Amino acid sequence: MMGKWYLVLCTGLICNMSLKAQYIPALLRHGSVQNTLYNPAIPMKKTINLGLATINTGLSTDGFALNELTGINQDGARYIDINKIQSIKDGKYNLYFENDIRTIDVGINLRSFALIAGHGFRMSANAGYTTDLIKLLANGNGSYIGKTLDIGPALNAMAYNELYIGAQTKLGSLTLGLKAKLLYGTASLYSEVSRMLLTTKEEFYQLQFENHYLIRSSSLLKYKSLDDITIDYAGFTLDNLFYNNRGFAMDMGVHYQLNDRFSLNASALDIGRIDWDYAPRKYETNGIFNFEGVDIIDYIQDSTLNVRDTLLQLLDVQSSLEPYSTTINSRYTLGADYILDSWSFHVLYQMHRRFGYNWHQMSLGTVKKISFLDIGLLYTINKSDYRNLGLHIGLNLRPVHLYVSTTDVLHLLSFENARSAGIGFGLNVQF
Amino acid sequence: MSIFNLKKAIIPALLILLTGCLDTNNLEEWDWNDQEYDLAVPLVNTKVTLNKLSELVKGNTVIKFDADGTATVSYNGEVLRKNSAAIFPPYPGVNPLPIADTLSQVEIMPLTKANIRRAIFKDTKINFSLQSNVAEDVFIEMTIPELTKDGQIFRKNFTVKYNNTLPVAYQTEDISVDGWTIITNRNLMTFSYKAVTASGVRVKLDKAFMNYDLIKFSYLEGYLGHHEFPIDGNFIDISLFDAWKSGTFDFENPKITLSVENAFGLPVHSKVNKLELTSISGKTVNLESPFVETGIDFLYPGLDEVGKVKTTYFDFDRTNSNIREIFNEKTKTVSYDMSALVNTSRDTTKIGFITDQSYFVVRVAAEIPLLGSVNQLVVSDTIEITLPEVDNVQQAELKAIFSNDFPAEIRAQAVFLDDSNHILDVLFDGIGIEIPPAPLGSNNKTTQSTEKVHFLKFDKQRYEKVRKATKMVVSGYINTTNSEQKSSLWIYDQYGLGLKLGARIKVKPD
Repeated sequence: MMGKWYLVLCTGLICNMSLKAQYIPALLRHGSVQNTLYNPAIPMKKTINLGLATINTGLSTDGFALNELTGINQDGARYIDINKIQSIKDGKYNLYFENDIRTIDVGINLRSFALIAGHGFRMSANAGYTTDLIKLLANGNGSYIGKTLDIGPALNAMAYNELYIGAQTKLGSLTLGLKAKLLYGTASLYSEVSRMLLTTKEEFYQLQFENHYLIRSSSLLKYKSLDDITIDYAGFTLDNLFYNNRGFAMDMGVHYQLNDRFSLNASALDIGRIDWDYAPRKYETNGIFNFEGVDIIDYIQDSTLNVRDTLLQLLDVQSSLEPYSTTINSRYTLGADYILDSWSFHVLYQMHRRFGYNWHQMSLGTVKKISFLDIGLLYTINKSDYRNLGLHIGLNLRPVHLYVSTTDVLHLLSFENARSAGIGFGLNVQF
Repeated sequence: MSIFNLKKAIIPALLILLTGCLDTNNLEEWDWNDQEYDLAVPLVNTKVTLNKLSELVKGNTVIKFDADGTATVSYNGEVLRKNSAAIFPPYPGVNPLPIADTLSQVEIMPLTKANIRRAIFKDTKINFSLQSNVAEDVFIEMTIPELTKDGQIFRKNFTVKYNNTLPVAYQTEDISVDGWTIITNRNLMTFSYKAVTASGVRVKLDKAFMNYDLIKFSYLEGYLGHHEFPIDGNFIDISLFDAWKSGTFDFENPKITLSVENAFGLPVHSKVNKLELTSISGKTVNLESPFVETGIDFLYPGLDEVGKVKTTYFDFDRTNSNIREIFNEKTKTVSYDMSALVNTSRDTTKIGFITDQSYFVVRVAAEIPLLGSVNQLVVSDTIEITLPEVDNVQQAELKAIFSNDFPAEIRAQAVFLDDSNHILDVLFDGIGIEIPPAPLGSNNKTTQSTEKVHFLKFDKQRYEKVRKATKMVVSGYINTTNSEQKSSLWIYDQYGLGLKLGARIKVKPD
């Protein structure tokens, strides 16, 4: 019985870890319409700029790589390794998953003025976990008698369609960019409050759960009881373009050309929110719940008494329908570009606010044009990853350009060891 | 190609390309490693108080409490129940009652059965058989002066029509006398009839009879005869001492209580032919008491208390019998042979009543007020067991916290036996778990629980040995505080034994 739950928890955690890759900024596609994805003020080189089938997908964690917590047993199955987790630093960690599918981006450059427009389907998810939860899963609660463990996981997910229109205007060396975005949410899971404390008491190992959970969902989660939870992935589609769950967001940017070679830029992206009004479910549980074993008197009086049911009933979840709003994950950037003949050098600082957590990242990149090829390197540093080296390859078949970029190329094929990994590719047409 | 077709074609292709590059096989299977998991779980948290126990016991055993919480165990048996039909069954009308003249008195039932003074009929119908020898129509008015309803005496009119042949026989329809009251003496009923022709000439009927199938009464008052009902052939099983092995009891005031609920307005007297107690060793001793010789009179409602139930309790206790001495010899059964006598004096001047709702019930109860002492009592029982196979558990340590509210030292032990009664294992070390008595306050009531914490370790090897057991002998030892001096103590409703049980289990999953 305990074993089954144990595995369910493990599997739940791992479902998120098995999603893979990492957001790749179009940092190295200088002068393309994809460049405006991280700053709407970055000038486009050509008059007509098309971006097609651009996909950026990524997985990152501010915690640990998969192999830093788990091992492979003799049967080839993965398990949480007690020996590995002993040294991990206590705290709360997150796994992030993002996948941007941009169907089309269009930029029309009219010298001092440019128009940009496009559509994208954007998904992001986050799984927050504590080291206490990992230790509990690895050791069992017997090692923590008399202690209180903070084990409450938090799950967040959001998917929406984005239709945008924007403009750039040049004021001398300064270019200003602005995008207005209409958003149509397709699925949401929002852990507004997520805290669960488990105490195994010393007296005779009574289990005390202190729960404070408020979870909201649209088109994704249906909860009937702890053993009857339905997650409906149908919401993660490109559907729902023009109805329900509407929202609005803006991208703003500024670009300053210091001289022919050197430019600075800054942007604030995805500043906005979605109002979720399609089947907006609210699940709430609060309070202290104790399990102290079976009262033999109760058992004698009711021989159908079931310990499993008793445990499941401990979680008193109130459900209701209530519209809610969530801010979308926003991003703030500061960057600089230096162009030297066939070389270009780029630096970009990002502060990404995702599901309430801030993520800081600095990227340095360079691209060398060799004939019809663009060969680039991208080094990224963040809180948990100091050795992330990416690769960029572009193919210039004018007016068509194909590219593929990856971060952490060293771990691309063994992402179990990566703390952040991502890949992006796309096609643009410029003339 | 439209942009949406492009999306459908390229995006899946790119996703397949992307995922195809990555080896995700070792993410799909999750399992346990060959390592131990240390689980700690609460198993049992229970406290069995006498109060709770009283809700659980079923059948003829009752635990009851006085206002101050003192407890009494009672083994009840309803040994006799009689309703009014047993005293006065419906009286059948075998022969028609002859009405010999225009004014006749008829005995409606023999005086040897009852001497009715007043009765109200119920579910009773009468009719008349009349015969005329007059060659014209005869008009008859029949009255019964003793029979009245709402202040009116019984009066009915009939016509015997001449049909050109003589004599003329006439049978009346059934006439309900439900609710009619008869007030009589010596069971006599007077029939008076006036028979006249159309011209007003009075005539006498050739023949006249009153007929009925059954006479039933809803109320009957008078002398209702003598009745005797045997109460025998039963015994009360007292399970209190079933598991006794050694040691002594001394209950201060065990009782055998006779109780009679009587709604008949008739005196009921018990006659005890035999009342004996058999101990668990098979020794049978007669209950001796002056009341066994003389019998006991039970209360009954008077003529002004119709509908009331009078209850009489009579205790055979230490003041009027040898019950204490023989009961403390560990009584297993109480056997009885008694009679309930109604109107035992056969005094016909004693007027009583019954109604159709009347009944009487006799109950016999063995009552043990839990005031006494228990000296070094050892009880034991053997239970058949089959322990399950447990593969994954490497080791289990049970933590048991016993609590005791009773003013008694309690010990417990369990021994596991195989089919040949060889001892495989003993649950607790030494003489077993010992729980000290709860301390007594100045009022001889315990002031707080005592607790005993005990750890029990089972590794795989020990459990496998125990698992071969087919029987478990459970034994207990009880000794109340100062039992050597036979210091009697009450057991109260809030006294109980508690068990909190948790387990630390080392699990190695498959």
